[in-house]
Amino acid sequence: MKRREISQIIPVAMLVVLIIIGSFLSANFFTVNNFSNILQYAVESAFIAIGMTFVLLIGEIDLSVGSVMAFASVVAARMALAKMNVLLILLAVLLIGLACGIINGLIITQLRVEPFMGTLAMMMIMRACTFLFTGGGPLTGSVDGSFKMIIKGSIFNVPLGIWYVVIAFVIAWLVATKTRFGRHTYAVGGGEETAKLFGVRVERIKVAVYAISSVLAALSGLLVTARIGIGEPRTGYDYEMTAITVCVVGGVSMNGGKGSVLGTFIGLMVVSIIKNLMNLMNIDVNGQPIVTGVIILVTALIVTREIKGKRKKLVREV
Amino acid sequence: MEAALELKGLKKVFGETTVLSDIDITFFKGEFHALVGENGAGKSTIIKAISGVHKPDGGQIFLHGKPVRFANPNDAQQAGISTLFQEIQEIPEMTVAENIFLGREPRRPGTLLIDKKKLRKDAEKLMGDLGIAIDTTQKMRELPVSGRKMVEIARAVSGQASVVIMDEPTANLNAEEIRSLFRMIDALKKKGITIIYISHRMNEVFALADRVTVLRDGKKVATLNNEEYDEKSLISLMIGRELTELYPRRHNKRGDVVLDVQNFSLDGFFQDVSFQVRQGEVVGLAGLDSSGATAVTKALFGLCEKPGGKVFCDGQELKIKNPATSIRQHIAYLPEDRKTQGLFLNQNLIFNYTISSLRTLFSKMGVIRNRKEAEDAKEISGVLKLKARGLHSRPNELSGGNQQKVLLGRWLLDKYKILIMEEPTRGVDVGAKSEIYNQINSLAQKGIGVLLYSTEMMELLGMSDRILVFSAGKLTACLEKEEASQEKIMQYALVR
Repeated sequence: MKRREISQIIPVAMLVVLIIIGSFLSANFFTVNNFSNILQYAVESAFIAIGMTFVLLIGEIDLSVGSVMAFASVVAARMALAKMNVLLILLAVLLIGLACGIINGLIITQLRVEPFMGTLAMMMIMRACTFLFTGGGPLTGSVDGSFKMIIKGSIFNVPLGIWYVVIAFVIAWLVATKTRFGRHTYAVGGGEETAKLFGVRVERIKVAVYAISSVLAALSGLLVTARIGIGEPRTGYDYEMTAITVCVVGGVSMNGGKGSVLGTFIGLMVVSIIKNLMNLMNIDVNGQPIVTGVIILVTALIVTREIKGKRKKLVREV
Repeated sequence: MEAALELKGLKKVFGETTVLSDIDITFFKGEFHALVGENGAGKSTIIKAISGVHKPDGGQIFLHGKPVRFANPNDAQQAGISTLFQEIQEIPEMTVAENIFLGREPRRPGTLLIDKKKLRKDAEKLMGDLGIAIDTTQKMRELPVSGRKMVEIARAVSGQASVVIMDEPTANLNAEEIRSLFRMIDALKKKGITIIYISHRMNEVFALADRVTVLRDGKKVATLNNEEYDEKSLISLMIGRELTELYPRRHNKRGDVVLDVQNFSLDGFFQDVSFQVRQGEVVGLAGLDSSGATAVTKALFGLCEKPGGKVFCDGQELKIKNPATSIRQHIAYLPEDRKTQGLFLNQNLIFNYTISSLRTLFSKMGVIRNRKEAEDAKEISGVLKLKARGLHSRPNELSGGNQQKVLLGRWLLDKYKILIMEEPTRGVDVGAKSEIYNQINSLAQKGIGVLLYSTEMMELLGMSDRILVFSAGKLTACLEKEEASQEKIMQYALVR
């Protein structure tokens, strides 16, 4: 009985078409090795996009994720360079994420600042904090091999990065579809006033969603540090935009209440594969965003057409 | 009688369904002609065909004897057919005067500049003529819904209209405003303007209509003169069967006091309100706009700032904080505007049913119990006789009456002690109305105390065991069913 909407079908179709095109264009494309690479390097975007999915589902936006990621990343780097315990570093990173998320949530729910403005401010503040923390340049030195294993290790011969992506998506999917919290998230996005009238504690849900977003951003900062082995304050530039792209391509509505974690996964695959293909085909890096831009436009066009079509149908029913 | 507008053999088809067939209606000059019928009978489609929104698939429309075809609503307006749709069409950031003359602002001679002085003067004159007391320099968004509606009406009649179509114009108006609307209509009639009127409120149709056309399933059933019908005959024509009684009788025992409101006050809204509701009792709330009646219901549910006074529910003092805490204390609430406040239009019916009971019934440790959800939703749909394609359809695919049933179903899932309702049957057709009344009664029979706010007098009188009347923030009367009447309610509603 469930009807699938175009915005849900399009990402899947796009993915299939891309895989077919890719297979023709490059012999190296449709290989286990290549796909393993695609997934591994999508970890950071995956985490941030999952967080962004929840934020978009409540009908809001979080621009601070890239900066939170960077701050967590440099703090993790300093601790790792000081040879601190990995678990301690993880704890610090989680706390940074939680704190930033709660601050975002409180700015928006208690001070009633527009999410765009509130998180824009946080984005700038956290970026500045990151540069102040490192003194401007990157933090370098040698970190323990055990720290690098966070991302470089593997279980059952499957790289950890892939595990992270899979686990994160499965948990997020369960939370969004199977829990009361997930249901309430959709309710807030579907109509804040309505949700409130029917017993949803809107403010709590919002703070929780921003906390999730920031914690995931901080975690991806930790992964970046483990990957590159230094503390780079310019980490995470543009990641909020990448995450929004992934979500929107995956059919998550910027108006809230519509979209799914599964859609975001497919969006992530689409965006990552396009990037991968462009690299395989040696397309100029500077020109690559043009393709991404076109993809966003196409998705947006489809979504607006769908809404218009629906309006027409509704008018007809009257 | 001279015909202003004639429909001959009008037909309209959407896809494979014929929504109008062989409609012949003559609207006389200067008459008030009501169109009645259940939702889906074709009233709105007729209006849309006349006003140029839809193009008819057959038949002809004659305006003052000449055949006309409108390509769009603008065409119809140019020809003198002005339409007042249900949804208010406005620009909130502009003033009342600017909204009224939108698109035909007076210009300063020889320039492109708007003559603001003349604009305001014209608007003021128009409002004065119509007897509407609204400052025309106010912005639209600063007005209450009823005020915006009045402006809309003023705009509709301000041009060179010879036919004015009104689709449920009284939906958001209070008794006082409705009366001024009717005075306006009288004035328009005297000018020879034809009024085509759609309303679900039978009493309006009775009081005012010169003639009534009854529609059913896209066909015309009859056109009757004012003296040829009464409420009962009209309703049975509309639904095509005898309706024994619109307000079904209730055989309930009134039990213990379930809600005890003591010295309830909220600054600027109501003062010192005290009343009780017993189990199984339906208590009506009546009052004009800003009389405090709706403020009381909203405050009880925790939608306002913290009110003063004490409220006891089943002997325990009620903690009024926000809707979530009220729901946990077994208070349910049906908002007046189901589209913007009541339903999640993008989500399926299950989602809409269970959203308020997730904590108590449909989740364990925060995890949703999908199967129980689906089972209970199915059962409730059955009880409510919901007409929908399935549980995965969305509320915006349902008719108004069925939407309201979904909202009501939300509160049937769990056990509540008090149900607060605002305008439960607004914009709902007669058949669905009586089903909603039956549901209210069966809830009362289960021992729930019901608070019913409605601007529809007949509904209040028909459904309530007692009616509380509010005026200027005070409770001015508590009328038992036997002693209550429209006149008495109005009398107490106007007490200052």
